[in-house]
Amino acid sequence: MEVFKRPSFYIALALIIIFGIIGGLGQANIGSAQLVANGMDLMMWIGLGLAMAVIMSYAGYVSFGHSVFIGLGSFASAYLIAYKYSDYLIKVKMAHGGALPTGTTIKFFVMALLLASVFAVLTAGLVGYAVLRLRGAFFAIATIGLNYVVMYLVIFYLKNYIHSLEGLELGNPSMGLTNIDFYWMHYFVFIITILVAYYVRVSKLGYGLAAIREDEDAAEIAGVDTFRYKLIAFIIAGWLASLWGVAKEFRGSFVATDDFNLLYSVIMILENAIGGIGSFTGPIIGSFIYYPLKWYTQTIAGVFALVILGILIILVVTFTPEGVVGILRRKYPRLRKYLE
Amino acid sequence: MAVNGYILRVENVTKRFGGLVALDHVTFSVKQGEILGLIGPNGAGKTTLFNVISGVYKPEEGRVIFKNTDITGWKPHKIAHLGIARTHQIVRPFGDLTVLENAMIGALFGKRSDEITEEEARKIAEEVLDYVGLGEKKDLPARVLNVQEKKRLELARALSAEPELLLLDEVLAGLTPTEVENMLILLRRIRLEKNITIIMIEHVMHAVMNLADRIVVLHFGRKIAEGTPEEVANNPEVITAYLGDPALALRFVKKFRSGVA
Repeated sequence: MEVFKRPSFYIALALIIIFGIIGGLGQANIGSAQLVANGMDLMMWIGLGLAMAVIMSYAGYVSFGHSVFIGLGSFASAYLIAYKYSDYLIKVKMAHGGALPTGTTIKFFVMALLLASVFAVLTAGLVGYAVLRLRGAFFAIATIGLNYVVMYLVIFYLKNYIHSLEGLELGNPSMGLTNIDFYWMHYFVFIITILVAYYVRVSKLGYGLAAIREDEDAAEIAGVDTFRYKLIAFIIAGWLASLWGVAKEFRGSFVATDDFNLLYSVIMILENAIGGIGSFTGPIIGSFIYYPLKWYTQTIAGVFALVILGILIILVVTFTPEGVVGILRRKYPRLRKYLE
Repeated sequence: MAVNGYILRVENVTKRFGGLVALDHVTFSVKQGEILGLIGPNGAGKTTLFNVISGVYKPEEGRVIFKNTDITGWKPHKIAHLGIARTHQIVRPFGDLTVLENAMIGALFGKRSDEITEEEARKIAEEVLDYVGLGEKKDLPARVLNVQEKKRLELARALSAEPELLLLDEVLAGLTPTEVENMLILLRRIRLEKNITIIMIEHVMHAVMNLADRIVVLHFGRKIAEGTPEEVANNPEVITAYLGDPALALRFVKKFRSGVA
């Protein structure tokens, strides 16, 4: 397609190739296990930043409760693996000589992605219909409310109907899946995320969202169906985040309070804010800045990690509201077409 | 210039904000291809009327009919798709987007929004930007433009939508006399070369009196006069509205006429 020939697509292409190479190295057992693990993490943080970008960087709506979609994705996969098909999977594993066959894993991965998508699209569509009539801080607060309502609904459902999703965990070594398997799952979701986020940015939808972000009322008068466009953006942003919830859960486990944790939203917002609002490359650069920072704050600062993150947000929002990409685009106008 | 039929009919439009009557049973029609001036003292309801026509406000009473379609209460974006474009009193550019992107938004979401491609929109936007004299600045972010350029950009965004009806809200405000002249030249070209009907709200009297075919005068939300510029200029109620005391106004007019020619 035409739009994929633009210079700004080179960054997306480069990332897809680089992470593919890392995966290839991991598959061939070259390099350390850390490489594969860090690669997965980085893909996820970039992917989440891009998911948030569709509603925040493009449309200007800060979805503070966006972690709800990660939680939904995680819940969808845990529901399938650790509950509904738990016995079936154990039977298959035993019949296959003690390790889950690749075909089955893939089948369940796809099933989980589909179920998560259904949850996310329904939630974003129905709730968005009401919540997108609010603006600014009110919208943000409403999404926080959404996050907790859904989280407590899930906890209630678990307590009264299922009792626990602490059944089968695919991350358990007995299932025969290794890090590199999870890496490819992450890679699959990464490719979807980056292509979708890029396409939205350069399509007519992207133009409309940009107009909404700059001046929503003027956009409406100029002919942009602002409500419909916002709703579509919110649905896409929620859907992408839910896919990462699945990837995350396959590798780890489902804990309601962890997966619906608002901290995910805060980090997604931070990546967009640092990198720059209004572009596709902004959140990507923001993720690259955040990721080493996360290492530093976690390993060295420990408990104070949250404090540091909070201070960072305040600093970024106060002093560089346009973000790194915003500053670059302003100082080097000729770079604009690479930094869309 | 042959003008057949009315492109816009405003019938009994009344708009209230709580106890305040902003528009009071305003009725007039606009002929296709004409330039209609909309004047009146500050607070007369001119911009409110534009807001009703473009769908931002829904009137409590009355109808707005565009080419035989009743568009009263329609959402603004649907009205834009019909072919009505508008500029604002205080310019509202999409600051972070380039000049070209601003104009493209007009084209992408204007009259042809259902079927226009990005390539076509880009071509139209470039042509329109050249037409209004902003061609060289098309890759600059809109926010770095000066006031005159921003007004031209707003006009370009509206023209890119290929409208049949153009609503200009004080497009000359804040411009120096030279800039006003330049804008008038541009507006005359638009009227001559494109088949666009224009309603212009204006305070720069000499401009609107010279440019407009007909004038509608609003005062405190009511239409107090309608006619050619000459008829309106001699209307005592209009003079009173602008100048206050009619007797004083007439003395002033006589003095002006005899003293200056």
